[in-house]
Amino acid sequence: MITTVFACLLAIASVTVSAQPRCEGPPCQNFTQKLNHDKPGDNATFLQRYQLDTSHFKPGGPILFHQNEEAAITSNPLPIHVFNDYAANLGAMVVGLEHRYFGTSYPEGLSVASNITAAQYAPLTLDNVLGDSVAFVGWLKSTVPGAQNSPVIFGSGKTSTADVPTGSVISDLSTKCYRLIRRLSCHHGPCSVLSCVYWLSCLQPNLQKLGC
Amino acid sequence: MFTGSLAFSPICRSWGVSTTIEDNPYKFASTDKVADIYWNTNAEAARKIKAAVAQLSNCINAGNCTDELPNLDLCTQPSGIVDWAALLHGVIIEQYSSIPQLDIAGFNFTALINATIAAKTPAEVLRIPIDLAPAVYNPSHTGCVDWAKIAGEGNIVADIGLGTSWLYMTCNWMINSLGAISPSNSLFPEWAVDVSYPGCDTTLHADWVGPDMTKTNAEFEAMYGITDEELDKVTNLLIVNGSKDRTAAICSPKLSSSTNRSHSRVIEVWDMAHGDSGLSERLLPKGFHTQVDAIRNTQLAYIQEWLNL
Repeated sequence: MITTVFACLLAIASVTVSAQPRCEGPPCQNFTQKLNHDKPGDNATFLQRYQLDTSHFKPGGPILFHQNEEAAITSNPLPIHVFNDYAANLGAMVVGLEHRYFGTSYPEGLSVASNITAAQYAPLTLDNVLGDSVAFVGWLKSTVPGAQNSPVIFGSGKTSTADVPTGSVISDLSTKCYRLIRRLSCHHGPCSVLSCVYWLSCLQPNLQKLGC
Repeated sequence: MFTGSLAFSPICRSWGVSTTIEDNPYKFASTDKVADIYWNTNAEAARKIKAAVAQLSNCINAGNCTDELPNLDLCTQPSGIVDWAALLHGVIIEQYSSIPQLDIAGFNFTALINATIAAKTPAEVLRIPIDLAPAVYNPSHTGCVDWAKIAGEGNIVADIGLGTSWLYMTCNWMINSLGAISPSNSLFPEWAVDVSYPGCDTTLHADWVGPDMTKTNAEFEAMYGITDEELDKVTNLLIVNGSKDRTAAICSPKLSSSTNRSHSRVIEVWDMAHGDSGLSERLLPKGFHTQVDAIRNTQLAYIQEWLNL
């Protein structure tokens, strides 16, 4: 157990000094996403991060799609989503898409550290968040062999969950991830800018042993 | 494109900055839920919390909290009624609300309840949630507490590296109200009954405020297509809430009963915190939380039915 904890601490230390925390689980990749889905003539794009796990996928099997919440995908990586527990049973692929304007999924020239104006935030709309999901899943179906007719199950705890089949939305104001960072940083030491889930996934098996 | 949807502890009610219960019938729902959470968990602790919070509220109004509750042992004394109100609502009641909500691993809420039962004075009771705030975490309750450090967390989203996008969203289109307290609340004194209490701090970025800010809750529901009637017609939507989560009170749409498994449903899971049903076994290992294990199985069963598997 001690070895595991030390390994975790070392990993966390390495994250602390790096500009971008590494992605836990499948590698983070970039999808070229339209910036404004509701403007047909607007060809502006940005790079939107995602994680994809097809290790259990069988042709025609479902796509378990998680629209990530209001945090970087490194804070909310694919392995911590419950869909992972279902993939083998369903022969499904599991995928998580970073929410626009979080993590590194910003329009070119902007970042988490930018002083963003209202005009620059204009594409951060609910319709565009949903449009991201639709466009991305459409791309998955057209590019992953055997996925063309796959049914899609949508999951999320935050923005853009819910009545996706009819285009409606349920939103959630809670900021679970950042609160977890706050909470766990107090339990286990300084990790204020770390990926909370990186921390969690690293130490979770040992939480009780650590006396938490 | 989407066959079905799982919503893990969503919010779908209490929109806008409405001032009246008519404009937002859910205005007090989340704090009413918090009160229930405490009474359901331990009546003795709830009684002590109610008395201590009432004493603080009364002394704020009387302007004599320094004399009335000297053992709070604050590192800096609140300088006036605004500061004291920030301590009561921005720190203490917010902590009472968020500790069970975010009690993902079952540690802090249990600690809070046990310490409250053991506390000997109202000041000791009130120090417990303050000391459990991450910014000052001090579970042994020793020394003075830097309450202002907690109250100043309004920009924490930006401070910890998430950027300001969250703040923008809460001012522009995710405009929600959680903290108002009804005169009939069973745990806390009334608060913001006749005024707005938005999650958005409009003074920070006035230019971010969207045109929908003043819409009523009903107008938001209609705009987003999430009225009870509309959600009732949707198929393959499963909303899962936790009984320790205040947000459960503001997304439990009234759906008709049906034996059709594709009919939209809301499930509230006992003793579950916010969003736990969306977490994998990697994060919450099987056996760690019996109710989470059970709801994971239920969610899988729904997906299998939706997919005819």
